[in-house]
Amino acid sequence: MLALLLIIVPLLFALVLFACKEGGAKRIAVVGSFINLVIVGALLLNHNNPYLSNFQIDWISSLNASFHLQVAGLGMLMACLVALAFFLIILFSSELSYKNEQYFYGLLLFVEAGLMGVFFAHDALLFYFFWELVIIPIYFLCSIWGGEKRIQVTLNFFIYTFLGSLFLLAALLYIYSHTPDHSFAWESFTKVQLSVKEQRVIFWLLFIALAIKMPVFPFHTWQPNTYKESPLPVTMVLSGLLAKMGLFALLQWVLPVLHNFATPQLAIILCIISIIYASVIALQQGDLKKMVAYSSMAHIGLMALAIFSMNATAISGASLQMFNHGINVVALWMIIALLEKKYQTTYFTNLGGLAKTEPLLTLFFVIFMLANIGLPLTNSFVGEFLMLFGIFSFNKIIALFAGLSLILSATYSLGAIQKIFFGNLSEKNKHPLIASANARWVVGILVIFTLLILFFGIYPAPLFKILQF
Amino acid sequence: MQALLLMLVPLLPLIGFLYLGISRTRIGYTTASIVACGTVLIAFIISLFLFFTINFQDNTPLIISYFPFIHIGNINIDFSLQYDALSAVFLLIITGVGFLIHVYSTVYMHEEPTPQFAKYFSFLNLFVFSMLLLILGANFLILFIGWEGVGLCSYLLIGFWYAKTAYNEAANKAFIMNRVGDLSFLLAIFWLLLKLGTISFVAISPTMLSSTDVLGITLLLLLGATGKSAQIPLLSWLPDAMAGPTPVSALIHAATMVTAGVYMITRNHVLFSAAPFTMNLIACIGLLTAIYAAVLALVQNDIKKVLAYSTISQLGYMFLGLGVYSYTGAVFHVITHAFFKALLFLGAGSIILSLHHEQNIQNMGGLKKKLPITHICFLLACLAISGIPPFSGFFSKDEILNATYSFNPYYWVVGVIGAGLTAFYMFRLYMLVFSGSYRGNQEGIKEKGWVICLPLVLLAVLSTFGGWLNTPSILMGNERLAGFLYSVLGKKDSTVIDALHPINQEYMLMAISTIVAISSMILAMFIYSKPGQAIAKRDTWQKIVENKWGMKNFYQRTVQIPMTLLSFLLAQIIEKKFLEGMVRSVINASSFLSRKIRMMQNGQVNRYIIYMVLGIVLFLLFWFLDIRIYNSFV
Repeated sequence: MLALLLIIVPLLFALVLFACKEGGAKRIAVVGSFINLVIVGALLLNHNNPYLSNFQIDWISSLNASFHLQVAGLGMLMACLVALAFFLIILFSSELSYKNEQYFYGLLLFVEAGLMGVFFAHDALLFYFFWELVIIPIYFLCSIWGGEKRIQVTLNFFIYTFLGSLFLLAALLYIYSHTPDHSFAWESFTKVQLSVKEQRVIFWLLFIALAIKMPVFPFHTWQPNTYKESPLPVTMVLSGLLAKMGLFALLQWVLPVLHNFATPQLAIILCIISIIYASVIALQQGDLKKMVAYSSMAHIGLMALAIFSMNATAISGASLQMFNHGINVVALWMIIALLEKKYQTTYFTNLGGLAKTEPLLTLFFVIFMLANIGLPLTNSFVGEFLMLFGIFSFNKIIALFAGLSLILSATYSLGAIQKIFFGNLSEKNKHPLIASANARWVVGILVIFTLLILFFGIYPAPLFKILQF
Repeated sequence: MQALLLMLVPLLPLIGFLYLGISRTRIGYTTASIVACGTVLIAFIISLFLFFTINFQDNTPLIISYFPFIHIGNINIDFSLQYDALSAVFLLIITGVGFLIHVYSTVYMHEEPTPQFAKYFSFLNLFVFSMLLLILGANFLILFIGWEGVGLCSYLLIGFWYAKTAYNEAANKAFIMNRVGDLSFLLAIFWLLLKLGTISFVAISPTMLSSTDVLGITLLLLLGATGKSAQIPLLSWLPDAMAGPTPVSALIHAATMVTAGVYMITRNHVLFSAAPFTMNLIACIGLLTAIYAAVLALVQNDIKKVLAYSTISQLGYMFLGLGVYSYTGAVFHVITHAFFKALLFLGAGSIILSLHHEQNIQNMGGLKKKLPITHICFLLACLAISGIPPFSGFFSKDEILNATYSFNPYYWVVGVIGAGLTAFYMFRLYMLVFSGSYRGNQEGIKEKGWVICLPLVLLAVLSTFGGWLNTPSILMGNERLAGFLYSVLGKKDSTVIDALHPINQEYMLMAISTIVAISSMILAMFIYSKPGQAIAKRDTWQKIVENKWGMKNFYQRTVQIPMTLLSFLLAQIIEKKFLEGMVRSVINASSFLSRKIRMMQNGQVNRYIIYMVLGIVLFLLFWFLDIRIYNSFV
């Protein structure tokens, strides 16, 4: 029941927002996302209560598809991330102003509802329904409020996503037709018996579909430009949350369907290429936004690799990292948003020496970057440790290649810190157009992120506990 | 009680860090100084208390788990601390020397504005916290947290004066080179965890591992240690790290952090002792580094660079000690080195401060009378590091060289040559700075008060008498340190050596190394006593050495430039031209098709009729074919 509420509440608020005027839109959106955060909290406390955590009604009975939501470990963790991130993103977005903001926030809440559905759906058709539902508002958000090249970039993004969805649908229908009871229920999907050859075909169909979403090399070319051109709150949602849909689907809908199946080597190789390729490209980006985009791609590649290693430890690490990476990358985009607002640029050549005028931003950026490179006692260390250990148990050489990302990420991350905040301050940036100091509540949001990063870095036990729900 | 006290030792500097970090804009010099020094002082007092109250002769170390860190599946790693004789020794060095350097810093950094001043001390406290965690960690993961933590602090403090690009690059270099070692370290941890299911130090033993495993693990750990301790191949970051404030160089890049590699290997001596190949490699790396860095130290003109190369060289001796199974010798040298190298750096700091940040020794000279206390202390440190009896360095270096002789006499010869070089470059430095007449143009040079001088004097006392800690039995000593570390390191290694070669021979070795050191010292004093020769000529020899034997910018040429090229290739060619180009052509093709299809619907009815007829024909054709195919199967 609570799971259903998590979908309905943002939808209702989205509808209210569409109907209302521009004025109070921000506040309504903040309240909506806050209510969802509270519901997630309630769900965390009551995850054992089937009345509250489970919801099932008939949906399309002729196809044996039901509207079935269920709360389980990883889905719950992702729901926590979604609710938390949306609340903070929407709260933060008030710092940036958008035209027709009632539609902007409405669409954002629409995305939240879809994401909750994706993470709770216990029925394949329902899962696919929400999977598609998420994309529609994103498409509008990017093409209406995006940057200069938004039309071309969004078209690119849309074609990719559309293609991926086709593959996903084909694979799901194929599995459906082989279920013993011709049902879309998750349990029926896990009981499917497919020959090795069929499993191979299914694997590749799903791999392409999900690799586009995550993204994994070579299906990633939509990603850097989309992250760059989208309005920043949407970029936060894309990189922090939507990218996790692909990983989540791998764990929830791909691995349980395949039995006695070893990941094809090509998939593993693509993940490794993804990690190193993205890290190396990140080294020479002149734009902070693109650097973070490629960095994010490298991290996602590591998580995908961990999942494909099919090692239990690596998979727990990846699950943990899905949460932690979401937190870190959203935090990083917030700093970028603040920089862009104040200095109208995110290019390294136009920045530099800001440590002198922006000590607080420097502090937070350094902390978030250190979390990004997996320094111990930040949240992502635990996940990376478990992932790399699992991959190491799977294959030592692969672990070495995956581990190279630790060195490369340190190189580009420290480089970025240096180019933006250290060195000499240019005359132009001494007197930015918007000279005001950062508002207290913006600093508050950044403090919350810092505390999350440190808390889960020192004491990750709560996350492990949620994963075992 | 012990659990609480032990926890307080690292926790106090952490609290100091948090307090200073959060309220750095609101507090003044006095508060910042008191908080920063006070927390470390209390940690030192607690360390002393623990040292005197705990009985180290039991073979079971004190291990306290505070809370679960990573508990998943069959991995159970706790946040736990371990206190035994080895950690006790390091604890005292870190908090003791650390406290002196904190006090010294309050004057050294006084030129900074308050927020910067407080920031400096918050970083310094954070460093002490990380270093204590490194030493106290009861398993590899906690050690690794400290290991990366000290690397972070090193990065933050090297780049403390962030406006200078060169300093930032030095900081980045230090961090990234250390990360290479850290990756190797991490892989070793994985290997252990995979084979043993645990990474607690007390549970690690080579008996459950195959010899390949032991070899692989120790080699990976060794690469990790070379990063942190600036040994070949990961050493070039340390000279650049001198960009940081001088007290930082004293604390981090001389007395404590760089000895972390030595500590880690000593902590896992059981594992390393089971890998003879690795041990030999450690000895070779140590020797090679000791000589290589000593030669480079001969020609440096920046006072801090001389000391930096000297540190690398001395760390080489510690590695040599480890490699020849003289763990006690290595730890002993860590201790004495902490005393005299911290003293040298703080002395250098006093000089630099008095000369308004002049670091070139060619512009010094004749400071003997102007900075009397610094001069005496510096001289004592020079005598100690050169291995002149009865100063502390003599005893620790002698113990290592002694063990080296019984391991491999050729290694010993090289080691003694290195000791001669040490005495030479140290007294070159001493002469250029203190003797002759002043060659600079600063006026009113004088020492900056007792806060600067007191740590110097205390460290000078320790450098002079530190050898008493482990005086060998043949010199009527009682080898306290070896006895103290017995519970951790097992056998007293020197007794084994005694059995291997007679006492006369030991006297002989001692005499030779002493003669070599003293004669190099006198040679240096003679050469650099005349002011005219003080200005070194740039001959070919010197150019070769300054070029670091052709190793200058080695990593820049072999790693950095190819990496940049690769990055450019991937980003501009593969990504932009190839992948994005391909996607664009797909998009273009689809929009081309859509244009064509749109053109079909142009509203001309006759066209539509043609399409309709065509469609019907095609449909019939397919239907017909379908039946044919179907029939052919049935």
